[in-house]
This record gives sequence, structure tokens and C-alpha cells, in this order.
Amino acid sequence: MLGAEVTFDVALPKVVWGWLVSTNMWAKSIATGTFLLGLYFIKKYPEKDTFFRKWIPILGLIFIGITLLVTVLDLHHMFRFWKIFLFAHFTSAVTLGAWVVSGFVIVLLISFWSWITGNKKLFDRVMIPGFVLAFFSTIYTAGIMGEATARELWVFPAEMIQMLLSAALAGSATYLLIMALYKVEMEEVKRELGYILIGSAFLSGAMYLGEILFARMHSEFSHRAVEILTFGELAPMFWLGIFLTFVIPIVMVGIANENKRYEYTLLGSISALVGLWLVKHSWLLAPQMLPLS
Amino acid sequence: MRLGFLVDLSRCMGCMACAVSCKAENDVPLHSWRLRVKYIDQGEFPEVKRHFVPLRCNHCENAPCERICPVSALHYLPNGIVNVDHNRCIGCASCMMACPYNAIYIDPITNSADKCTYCAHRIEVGMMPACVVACPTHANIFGDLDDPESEISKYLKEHKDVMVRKPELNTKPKHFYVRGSTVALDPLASERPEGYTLFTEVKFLDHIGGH
Amino acid sequence: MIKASRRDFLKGVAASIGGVALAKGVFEKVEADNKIANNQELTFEPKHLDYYPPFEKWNDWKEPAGDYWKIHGGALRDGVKLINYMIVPTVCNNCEAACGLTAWIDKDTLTVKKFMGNPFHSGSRGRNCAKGYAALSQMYDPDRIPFPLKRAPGSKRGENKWVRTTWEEALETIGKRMREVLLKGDEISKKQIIYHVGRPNENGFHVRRVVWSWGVDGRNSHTNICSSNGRFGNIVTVGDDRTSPDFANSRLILLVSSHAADAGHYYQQHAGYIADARAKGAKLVVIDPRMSNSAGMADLWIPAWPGTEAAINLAMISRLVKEEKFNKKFVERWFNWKEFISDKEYLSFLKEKGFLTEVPQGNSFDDFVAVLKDLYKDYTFEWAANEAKIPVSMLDKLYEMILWAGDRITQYHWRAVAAGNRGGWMGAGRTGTMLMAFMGAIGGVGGTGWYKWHTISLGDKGGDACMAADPEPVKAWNELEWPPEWPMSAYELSYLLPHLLVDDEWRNRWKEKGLKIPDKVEVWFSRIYNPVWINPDGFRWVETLKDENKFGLTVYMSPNWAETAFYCDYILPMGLAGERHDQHSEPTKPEKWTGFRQPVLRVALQKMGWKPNDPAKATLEAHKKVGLGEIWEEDEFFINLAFAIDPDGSLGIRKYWESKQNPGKPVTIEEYYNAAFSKLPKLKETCQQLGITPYEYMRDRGAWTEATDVYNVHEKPLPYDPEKRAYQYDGKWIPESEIKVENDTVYHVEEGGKKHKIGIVKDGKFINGFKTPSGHIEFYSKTLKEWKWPEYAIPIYPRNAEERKSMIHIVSQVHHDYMKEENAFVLNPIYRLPYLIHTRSINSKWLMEIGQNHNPLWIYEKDAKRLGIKRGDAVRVRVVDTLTGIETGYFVAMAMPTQATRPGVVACSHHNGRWRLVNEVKVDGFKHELGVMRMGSVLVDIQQKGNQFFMRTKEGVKPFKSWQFPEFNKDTEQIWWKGTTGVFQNAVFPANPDPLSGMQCWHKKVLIEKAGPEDKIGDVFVDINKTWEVYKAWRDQLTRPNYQPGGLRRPKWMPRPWFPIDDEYWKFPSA
Ligand SMILES: Nc1nc2c(c(=O)[nH]1)N[C@H]1C(S)=C(S)[C@@H](COP(=O)(O)OP(=O)(O)OC[C@H]3O[C@@H](n4cnc5c(=O)[nH]c(N)nc54)[C@H](O)[C@@H]3O)O[C@H]1N2
Ligand SMILES: Nc1nc2c(c(=O)[nH]1)N[C@H]1C(S)=C(S)[C@@H](COP(=O)(O)OP(=O)(O)OC[C@H]3O[C@@H](n4cnc5c(=O)[nH]c(N)nc54)[C@H](O)[C@@H]3O)O[C@H]1N2
Ligand code: SF4
Ligand code: SF4
Ligand code: SF4
Ligand code: SF4
Ligand code: SF4
Ligand SMILES: [Mo]
Repeated sequence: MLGAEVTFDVALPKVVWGWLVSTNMWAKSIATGTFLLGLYFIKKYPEKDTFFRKWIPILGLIFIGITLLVTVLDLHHMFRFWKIFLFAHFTSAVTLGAWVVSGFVIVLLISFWSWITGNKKLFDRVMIPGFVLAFFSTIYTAGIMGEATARELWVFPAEMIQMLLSAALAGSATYLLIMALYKVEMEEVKRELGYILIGSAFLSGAMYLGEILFARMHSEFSHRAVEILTFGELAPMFWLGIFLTFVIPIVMVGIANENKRYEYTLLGSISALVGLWLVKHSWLLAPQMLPLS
Repeated sequence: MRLGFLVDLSRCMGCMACAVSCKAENDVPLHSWRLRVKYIDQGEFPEVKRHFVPLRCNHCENAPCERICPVSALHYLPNGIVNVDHNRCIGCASCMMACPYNAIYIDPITNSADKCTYCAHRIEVGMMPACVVACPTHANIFGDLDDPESEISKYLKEHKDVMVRKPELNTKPKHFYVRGSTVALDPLASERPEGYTLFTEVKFLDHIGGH
Repeated sequence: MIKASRRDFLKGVAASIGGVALAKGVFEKVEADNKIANNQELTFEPKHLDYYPPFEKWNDWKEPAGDYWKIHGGALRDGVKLINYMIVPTVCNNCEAACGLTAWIDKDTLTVKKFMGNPFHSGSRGRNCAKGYAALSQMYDPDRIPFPLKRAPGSKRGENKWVRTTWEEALETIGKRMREVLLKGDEISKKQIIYHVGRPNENGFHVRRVVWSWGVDGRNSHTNICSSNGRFGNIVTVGDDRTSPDFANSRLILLVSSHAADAGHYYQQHAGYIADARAKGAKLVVIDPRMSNSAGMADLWIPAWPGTEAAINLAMISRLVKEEKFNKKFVERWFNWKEFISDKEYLSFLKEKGFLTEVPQGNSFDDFVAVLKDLYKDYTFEWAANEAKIPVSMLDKLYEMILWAGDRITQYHWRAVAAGNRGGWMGAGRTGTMLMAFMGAIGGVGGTGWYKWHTISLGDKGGDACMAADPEPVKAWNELEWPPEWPMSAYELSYLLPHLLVDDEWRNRWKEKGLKIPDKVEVWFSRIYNPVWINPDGFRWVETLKDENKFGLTVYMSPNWAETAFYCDYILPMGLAGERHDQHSEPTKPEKWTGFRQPVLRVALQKMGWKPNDPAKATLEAHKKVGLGEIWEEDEFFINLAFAIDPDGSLGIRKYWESKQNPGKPVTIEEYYNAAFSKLPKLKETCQQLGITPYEYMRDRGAWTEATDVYNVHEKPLPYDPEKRAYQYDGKWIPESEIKVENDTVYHVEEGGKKHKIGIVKDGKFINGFKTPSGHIEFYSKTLKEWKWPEYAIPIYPRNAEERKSMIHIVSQVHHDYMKEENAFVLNPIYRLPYLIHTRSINSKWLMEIGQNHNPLWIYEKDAKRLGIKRGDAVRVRVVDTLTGIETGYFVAMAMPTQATRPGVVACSHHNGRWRLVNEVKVDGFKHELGVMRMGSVLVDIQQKGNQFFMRTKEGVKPFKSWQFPEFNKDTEQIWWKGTTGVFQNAVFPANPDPLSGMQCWHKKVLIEKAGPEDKIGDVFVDINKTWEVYKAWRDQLTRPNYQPGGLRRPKWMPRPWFPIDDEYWKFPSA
């Protein structure tokens, strides 16, 4: 009890950005993660690049499509979407994001064409801009979160790193999932993907832990948001998310890599993808649970 | 010209004249408020106090809402007012995520973002904002911060206990409070229990993003 | 837990503002053009900012509209549409403060776009409270009644079957019925037409002239549920019914009310002055068991036990007297101590009662002071603290402040202790005013003046425009309004009307003594009055209203639906604040101002050249023309009604309403009010200079201040004209020859020997003095002694439990003596919410959004804990009468534990808990259904078993689409509040008339328990046989009817308000 209590107030908005936005971030992590990791594997294992040259555009287009769909759906004026290009305001990370993602979509379309036509060169030529666009597509959301000054829980560089780690995690999990589903035999790649998954999960988990522990120092607002996240009404979702994203995959993929029992990756990667959505969602909601004024 | 607002909280009596006059002046629909007045009870019987605090847009000089708006629907007027363009707004609600003061909402009738404009339309004909005219106790003081002769500038000079909300966020609000208190100005310094209170049902609105 | 850095930083920010220009934000981006497209008059950077446009531009003011700007006022706008406004003044009708309003009329659409204040109104200073601005939402209410309604033929009252009718038909039917009654001409018939009014917010037109011209004693009020106790103490003390404090210059504002922030007469105006005073260093003290908003911001909140305020006041007086720190000069000059000290018989009586140890021999002022010391010796701070159940330290603080403030202390007595408690008049105006008087805080700057000093009552003076001016005194005394049990009541016993009507036993009792009391009211008008809901014992009202043998023809005059309307024969849609004429003046400050309420759209139309077909029906025609509906106003309605009652003039009524300018035709509003306002000399003079008529002045500016700085009127000499050799009194010149002085009192002796006191002699001059029989502040009221209440003739209070039994008439019915049970509490059902007006705000979506029909039961947290009650729990509140021990019923409310009410006292607001019988009414031949109170009430089911009534909520508030004023109401689909947490508490309350003043004593003893599984919030159960028994006990055990054959019915110096009653009828008929 703070000894003070609001006795009159009007109804205030609570969750402004909800599941559509979490889904946006989640799908975007997959799209950009698979792209970035795909480039890495194409470069590292040029002899095994067919797999990636096929799945980069497919996964990328599907998931960036989802991203764009939910973004537009989330607008109160859906059909004014185009204004973002006509009246672009470049201090806004939202604007930057829209432009960057649009560029990324073009790259993905080119890669798709490249895969359909078998014209590898075409894709090779857009790899560097693709890398840059995918990278920024991943991190612009962190920019938005940083610009969301009201939600003091979200701090810019931390969110950016989280976004990158999510991309790595989502990308590796998705590839592992595809490989498990299609029974793709690329042991080295799998192992490496497994380590990426474990590594990014570990780092990301550690960062969340750090953010939770240090939120108190950042501001009272973030401290209270974290309280809601860890002990409050969002705790079940958040901890389930943490468990699914970080604990299970690390264990499962660890077992898979140690014991060469790759069927375990299936479970690990599904768990990671589901968990990632939950973590993103609860992290998105937490600072929206508090009154701002 | 930098238009600014000041509320002398020692004069405010929580009557909501400002809030209702704002609704009338600006066609603010039910469910939404450009300006609201919050009551906070503090202390234990018989040492109890009730604080009243009118809350509206601060017209920040370094406005996060303006910065994040992807289409510049939120923009500065030459007199420092942060204005909204309902036609341009795409309804992304980013501004609502950015404004640290809960000052913006999506107008349920226009579907665009809306907030206090310091009655920019009245300023254009040299009239005070509606809520300033309304206030029975003259707790609302409005004017040009650049003009040392304006009532607001003098008030600011004369009073030592000037506060703004969340100064640490560096938004540079042009909305000041005199004789305020942490309890009144810091939303986290009081509890805001959801549900019915002495006066009203205090609640959060359902998820308002998207469709 | 709260980080220190932010708070510290808050303080630091002060340095960064002021002259220092802040660096522009890094990301700043200015898009908008500085010059505003194609309009030269507009500028983003005006040279100065004004509160109101200059008067010269009021007929043609151009301003962008907020709603238009909202959509088109963005960065790329290509010009901003300007509204062509005409600004027409009027007066707010939402409380009695009568603040000025201006209607901002869009000349192109003939709609009001907004109401703002009126800068010409010196009381309200161009400002208003939330309810003032909400006038717009009331005007364009989606559930507004669009045309006159009549109970469907063959249906019963309360069935809510209605047909559409016309104003012509209504006038004819009502007029005919009244004519039939008046033609009987006997005494009884003069008591069978009743105009019953709530808060009319006007000065004199209807309450005086209309009813008077009918020649009936038929003006009934609502005052006994409002303020009789508030008035009574002051009437006894100074002969005026309310203080008129100079808050703005006061040093100590000692509120036994909530004027600083919540309510009160003159609400926002007083609040503004109080804020001004506090800015100058004044202290605010609030005595209230509940933490009102005023108490919440006060320098000292004294949460006294309800009804014990007299103890606090007397303790202060006791200490002042003991320490001789009171204002001796003032007391010696202005108290009627001589009368007191020389009445040895009375002093002996006090000695007998144990209040005096000794009766002094002498008659000097010192003897008086000695008696005071003796009389008040037992009223110590410790005793008072114990009685009021508060810490002594609070009294010490209060005493300090009183000494510091000296003669700058202000109070306003109206409700609070007065309205809540039996004998509340003693705690309010009697001891409260006395406390101020002891400090000399009466009349001067920063002190307290009086109602009559500061008001202008002109409403009926417009009679000069009619063929006949004042009617004859009325030849009847209506016992249905002034029953003999309460000879001194301040105003009519209005809430007892149904009780009196159905009580044959009572009627017969008085019949034997020669009184002629009707057993039926033939025609009953209810105007701005919703008795079923706002009175106690509402189901008694419902039962009686439904009985056509008790109420003949019933007419509900109201713009909107209300609980009472369901049970009437006609509902006549009258105009709101901006839709009717009234002259309205109130004592809000030491000035004399008046405002003019007008139908603003009619005025606009007329200014634009429109002419009505029938000048006597211009308001109705105007409202039809602009599409507001068939909305009329009372003034024109009553003028036309006089012609309908008395078409050929044979009843002698018509002449009071026939125009002098156009004999044979009804007087027009313009003529009438021009005559009225011409009575103000200064206004008249100003108008002559301006070359306009007083009516035009008021029409255009809406307000006028006739006098400023009106102080110490009691000290002012009667104006004397040496040429006329006459003194002026009450506007009339009285020749010296008709003036007589007896015992330092100045009388006007009329031909035939009738004499009236007109002043007193002091320092050899004729001065006003006070309106009491002695012309002084009556420390000792001979009237009370003579009218059988000697023990209360001086400011007094019982000192112990034994005395409380014998002095029960001034002991609260909720005194802590009566609270024996574990779960016994006082229920405080009287407090205002700053944004609501009784039952007058249901037609405002904006106020309903705030009010939400939510009236929880405030209960002190520790009390709640003790009873195991949590926030939001349903609790059963059983109402028990402490005189009889009878339990009348219960209601089920939502509990709200809080620190904002004192231990042992719960509180529940009366604004909410509204109910409706139907959601919509279908009227044959009209394509839309009429919505009924949908924004702030619940649909209920009422079950009746004999005398027992049970009410339960069926449905709350829901969003809907409005066919009325669809553009304005496009957001009613956004309604989000539920409205289901209110409860109709008044129904369970019995009528509890104060034995002296007649005031309904609102507080109730209640037993609180957690609701059972069968209970639902909103449930009400009452047995109206039990409420009946309680009422009878209060009447029979507590009153002292002053039946004197041949004697008076009431002290002559306490006039019947509004119009004179023939001397013959002041007397009881000889047995
Ligand atoms: N906002 C608003 N203003 C209004 C009105 C309205 O409906 N709304 N109505 C107008 C009318 S008709 C009237 S009569 C006036 C009345 O205005 P006031 O005279 O101020 O009366 P209330 O609001 O009834 O009560 C004032 C305070 O008295 C407290 N009180 C209750 N019982 C006791 C008691 O036993 N002792 C003491 N010391 N205090 C007690 C209540 O808790 C409340 O806070 O307001 C007028 N102004
Ligand atoms: N429990 C409890 N009960 C109370 C009180 C309390 O404090 N507690 N307060 C009491 C007091 S002080 C008072 S004064 C009474 C007030 O009670 P009332 O005198 O009845 O006054 P209102 O509720 O303001 O208005 C009554 C009706 O007038 C109609 N009306 C509204 N506006 C207009 C208009 O412009 N013109 C016309 N012709 N009609 C209109 C509406 O139908 C409304 O329902 O309530 C009393 N009842
Ligand atoms: S109008 Fe003035 S006093 Fe009333 S709530 Fe607003 S700021 Fe406070
Ligand atoms: S208060 Fe909020 S809405 Fe207003 S300018 Fe600042 S950030 Fe923008
Ligand atoms: S909701 Fe509208 S105003 Fe707000 S950021 Fe988005 S586009 Fe800009
Ligand atoms: S300045 Fe105008 S828009 Fe802003 S709160 Fe006041 S009335 Fe509303
Ligand atoms: S105080 Fe009363 S009269 Fe004045 S604006 Fe408010 S409701 Fe109207
Ligand atoms: Mo009242």
C-alpha cells in the first residue's frame, strides 16, 4: 500500500499494441533470421547451398508476408498504409522500418526468382544489400521500442541485441524444424544450427535475466513492469515462454548434438518458436499494464 | 512564440469544468478525453488529503509522439503547439506507445489519433483555450512562454515550486504545475486499482489496437 | 521503492524555464505553414489571447470550430472553415448559483455549438462548472421529450402508455379543469390547485405571480427536503434565511458544507472566491463527517459526528467568552442582550433547567457577559471533543484560527448538519451565526452579509406591463402545505403532501377545530421537481399519485423523463437553461447582480429578422422552427394558461396577464421583462444613455450589476428625502407622518392602524438593523419562547445523556447514544458530487459518463474490515428509526472501504441510483420510439405486496443509436459504463420532519450486513406502513402544535413566502 489511491479517473487505454504486434516481431525474426543464417551457410558451405537457396525465399516471403499483414491489420486506417511512403517522416523508426522491410521484400522476391529460374548469380548480387536490409529489418523494431519513450522497460541497444538474438534463434530453429520435417541429411549444418540455437537462446535468456535484474536501476517504471512480468499477471506467460524458448531447446538440442539424436531437434525447435512468441508477447505487454499518468 | 500551460494545483478543486468544456469545444466523443482530471486520496483518517490533477498533452518541445509518427500526422505549429492531422494519421498507435503521459488516444469516431491541441483553432482567432476560460478557480493559466509579460511567464517566475511530469525523460514539457506533489504528478506514486472506486469505475479500456 | 532521482529532478526543472529558451528538440520538424491558408484574420501567433470576444462582435463572431478543426485542421489544410457565430447570453439552470452562460449559435445551421460563460456576469466572472458547459448535452439529449405527451386514454398511471398531444389541447384541458375548480370559489377550492416546484432558479415570476394571480394558496415547494433547518436558525437569529459571505476577502472560511469544491448554493462562484481568498492566505476549515473534495483540500478537516456541530460552536463561544476575546463592541451594539437580561422570568427558567447558577439582578452589559460565562461554562473543549468524537487538538487549532481571523470569518449554512439532523438548525444558523457574531464577523469586508442585502428580485415586478398589477391577498391557508403542527416551519411541508392527503384521521382531528382541509388535489403541477425520487418515502408518493381520487389532473413539466413523470397525466416538455425566460439573481458576493435567462435560439432568430405568428407563443414557434422540437417555456405557457382558465376575464385572472400595450392580448415577454428590469434605477439610467431599453440591454448582455461593495446594510440609515419628507423602505416612500418610534424601533403605521417594523434607532438615526422583531441579532428569541419552545430560545445544547433525552428536539436522531449494535452506523445520504445535479443531469451524456449511476456506500476501512466487508461487496443496509425502533426496510449497495469517511458513519450519494420503468416509449403515429433515461438509470422491476415494495434492477445502461440530434449524438454507441451499481436509497427513508422547522431529517441509523446470496446491488425493500408509523410518531410525539383558537397560525413576522395571505386566514378559525 502506497498510502495513496486513485479515487477518480477515466478509462485509460491499456494494451495498445497486442498480439498482432507480437506476431509481427515473431514472424519478422523468422524471416530475417532464416535469411541471415541462410546467407551464412551459403557462404560457409557453398556445396550445400541448394537447400538454403530454396528455403530463404520461401520462408522469407511467407513470414515477411505475415509480418506485413499483421502490421497493416493493426492500423486503424488500414487503407492509408501508403501514406507512410508519401509522407515519410524519417525520424520515425516506424517509417524507417517500413522502407527497410519493403527493400527486404524486394530482395526476397529476387531471391525467389533466382531460385525459380536457377539463376544463382542474381541472388549473389543482392546478397550484400540483402544482408544489410535483413539486418535492419530485424533491428528497426528495437528502434521503435526505443522511441516508445513511454515504455521505459525497453531500452535501445538491449532491444537491438535481443532482436538479433531472436533472429538467430528463430532462424536456426526454423531451419532445424524444416530439416527435421523434410529429413534433410546435413549433419554439420544441423550441428552448427544447433549450436547457434543453443548459443542465441543462452545469450538471449541471459539478457532477459539481466534486464529483469537491472530494470530496477533503470527506472521505477521498468521495475514495476518487470514485477508484473515476473510475479504479476503476465508471469505465467512469461515464464512458460522462457522455459519453452530457452530451457527446452538448450536441453533438447544439446542432447541432439551430444548424442547425435537429431530427432530431438524437432521438439527443441518447435518449443523455441512457440516460446519466442510468448516471450515477445509478454515483453510487449508488460509496460502497457501500467498507467502512464 | 511558445505557448505553454500551467495549472496551479493549490487552486484546482477537481470540478471537471475543464474536462467537460473540452469535450464540448472539441467534439471529444464518449470514451475519450483530451483532458482528464484525476483524484487521488492520500493518508489515513483523519489525516487524509485529496489531490486533484488535470492531465492533458504537454506539448513537449522534444515530443516523442512527433518523433515516432511515421507520417508526420503529429507536427509542430509555429507557436509550439503539437498538432494532429486526422486525415494523414494511419492509426498505427505508435504515438500512444511513445507519449509517456497517456495524452493521446485513438478517437473512436475518426479512427485517428487525437489529443489536446491547446485549442489551436481558438488560438488562431486570439482566444484562450476552452478549458482555460472555463476554470472557475483560475487554476489554468495559459500563454506565451517567450513573452516575459504574459501571465504564465510571470507566474513561473514568481513560483519556486514549478514541476513538470517525468522531466527525466527529457521531453521538455510546456505544461507546468505549481504547488503540485509527487503523488499528484507521478502515476506510480499511487495505486490505481481497477474496478469501482468512491466515484467511478476506474478501468483500462480493452485492447484498442487493430481490428 | 520510489526512486529519489526523479523527484529531485522535478524540483530542478524550475530553473530551466522562465526566460531561458529551451533548445529545440533534435528531431523537431516543423511542417505547417505560418500563414494560415487564405484567411488574413487568422494567425498562429496572435498578439494577445482573450477570454471572450469583444461585445461589439457578439452578433457576428467568426471562429474556427473545434470539431471541424479536428478533422481538417492538420498540416496540409487548405483553409479552415469559420463558424458564423451569434453569441447570445443566458443563465445556467443547473444549480441556484445562476452563473452566466453564453450560447454560441451557428447562424448557418441555427444550432448551439457550445455554451461558455458570460463575462458581463459579475458573480460568475465568465466562468462555469462542468454542469454549466454540459448544458449543451442536455439541450441535444438523445432522450429529450420532443412534444407534449398525454397518458393514453384508458391506461392507468404508471403503465407508461402515452399519446402525442398538442400544446393547445393541453392548455385547453388544464385550463378548463382549473376553471371548474376556481368557479366553486369556496375556501376548499383555493387549496386544490397546487403548483409544486423544486428548484425553479428564478426570482418570482411563477412562484409568486402566477399562483397568486389564480387566487389560490397553491404554491408548494421542495424546501423542506432541502434547507428548512438551514434557514430556520438564521431566520430566528437575524431574520434572513441565509448568509451571504464575503468569501473572497475572508481570512477563515469555516465550512459546514462543501462550498470550496463540491457543491452548495452558488457553487462555482463561491469556490472561485474561496480560491481567491486562499491565494491571499485565508485558511479553510471544513466540518464534515465525510471527506468531501473541499475537506480533502482544506487546511483542517474536522470529521465531527453528525449533528454535534452545536457543541463545537458553543465550545468556541464558551472559550471566547471565558477569555473575553470576543468582539465586545459588536456584541454590545448588535445583540438583543437587553431583551434577554431584562427577562428575569426567562433567566429563572434557565436556572431551573440547571443552565444558570444564578439570575443577575442588574440589566447591564456586564451582567450579560457574566450570564454568558455562567451559561456556557460547561461547554469545554474536552466536552465538545467527546461529544463530536474528534481529537481536542482539532478544536485548539480551530480556536487559534478564529482568533487570528477576527471579524473576517465566513460561513454558509444550508444542508450538512442542518439537513441531516433533527435540531440541525441549532448546529447551523443558530450557533454558527452566533459564533461569527461573537467575533463581529457580520456585515463587513471578509465577514458575512445576508441574502436580502445582495439579491435583486424583479420577476414579478414585470406585472407593471399588465392591465392589473398586484392581486389581492389570498383568502385561504392551505393546510396541505402548512399543517398546523409546524407553525414556524421554514417553508411548506412539501414532502408530506401525499401523507396529508391520505390521512383522514388527521384531517378529522383538525376539522373538529374548524379547519377546512381538502381530501383531494384537483390540479397538480410538478415543475422542475421529481418528488418520487428525491423525496423520502417515494413509494408513498407513487401510491398516492396513482390514486385519481387524491390527485385529479397531474401535469409534469420537464424537458426530460423522470421517475415522477411515469405517474402523471401530462408531460409537458419545457425549455432548459437556454430555452426559457427568467430573471435570476443570487447573493453570491457583496454585490447586487441579476442575470437574464433566455431562449437563445428565439433571440437569435428574432435578431435575424424572424417574427412569430403569435407573439405570445414566440418561444414555442422558434423552437419548432429550428428543429429543437415542440419545446415551450413556462413563462409563455402560464401566460397563455391564464387566458385558457379565464377566457372572458370573468374570473378576474386574465387582467393580471393582459398587456397594457395591447389590451385584450396576452402580455409579451419583451413587455413583461422590460417593465421588470426598468425597476432598476441604475440600469435604467445606463440604458437611457445607451439609447436602448432595459430589456434590450439584458437580452444582449445577459447580466447587470446594480450595486457593488454592499456591506453593513444593517448600519445603513433609511434613505430620507427632505423634499418628500419621507423615508424609503422596501422601495416605497413612507411619509414621516406615518412613522412611529417605540422602544427604539421604527414602525410604519398604515391607515387603519396596521404597523410594520421598518428599522431601528441607533445613535439617534433611523437605520435598517436586522429583520428580526427586535431589529437586532437575536441571541434570545422571544418568538421561540412564545411559540412553546422556551428551552431553545437561546443558543444551547444538552450537556449529557439525560439532557439529551429531555431536549430530544435538538438532538440528532443519529446521535451516538443511539448506536448500540456492533453494526450500527449513521448513514449520511446527503452530499453533492461536483459534476451532478440531483436528478437534473440524466439528460447529459457528458455528466453521465462521469457519474455512471454509481453510488457506492462509503465505509471507513477499519469498520469494513471489522465486519468482513471488502471493496465491491454487496451490503444490505437496514434502515432503523431511532424514535420508534421501527425498521422500515433495506437497500443493497456496493461497499467501498475508504479513509474518506469517519468511523461509525457511512455515506451514500443521492445523485445516482436512478431508475426507469421502460427503455422506450412507443407513441402511435410517430416513427421513432422515445428513449427513456437510457444514459444513467437502470430498468427495474417493482413488485408490490400490499404495503410492501420490492425493487430490483433488470438492466443497466447500454450503447444505443440516437435518432434525435444524430450528429451531436454520434457517440452514444460508445457508451461504455454499465450503470448497475446504483441504488435508490431515498425510498426506504420515512418522512422525518424536524419538530420546529419541518425539515426532513435525512440521516438514518442503519444496520449493515454483508448481503446474502439472494441480494443484488440495487435491491430496495420498503414497507410504507412502517414509514407511515414512523412519520406519525415524529409528528405526534415531537411537535407542539400551537393551536390557539382565534390565534395566529404562524408568527406574523415570519411571512408566508411569495405572496400575502389575507389576515383573516392567518388566524385559526375560532373553535
Ligand atoms: N454540484 C452540485 N452543486 C449543487 C447541487 C447539486 O446537486 N450538485 N445542488 C444545490 C442544492 S439544491 C443545494 S441545497 C446545495 C447544497 O449544498 P450544501 O449545503 O453544501 O449541502 P450538501 O452537499 O448536501 O452537504 C454538504 C456536506 O455536508 C456533509 N454532511 C452531511 N451530514 C453532515 C452533518 O451531519 N454534519 C456536517 N458537519 N456535515 C455533514 C456532507 O458529507 C457534504 O459533504 O447545493 C447546490 N449545489
Ligand atoms: N438522499 C438525498 N435526497 C435529496 C437530497 C440529498 O442531499 N440527499 N437533496 C435534496 C435537495 S437539497 C433538493 S433541492 C432536492 C432536489 O430535487 P428536485 O427539486 O426534484 O430537483 P432536480 O432533481 O434538480 O429536478 C427535478 C426534475 O426537474 C426536471 N427538470 C430538469 N431541468 C428542468 C428544466 O430546465 N425545466 C423544467 N421545467 N424541469 C426541469 C427533471 O424532470 C428533473 O428530474 O433533492 C433533495 N433530495
Ligand atoms: S476547471 Fe479548474 S478547478 Fe476545475 S478541475 Fe479543471 S483545473 Fe481544476
Ligand atoms: S505530452 Fe505526449 S502527446 Fe503531448 S507532445 Fe508530449 S509526447 Fe506528444
Ligand atoms: S497513430 Fe496516427 S498520429 Fe499516431 S503515430 Fe500513428 S500515424 Fe502518427
Ligand atoms: S487546451 Fe483545448 S484541447 Fe487542450 S485540454 Fe484544453 S480545451 Fe481541451
Ligand atoms: S455553479 Fe451552478 S449555475 Fe454555475 S455553472 Fe455550475 S451548475 Fe451552473
Ligand atoms: Mo436543495
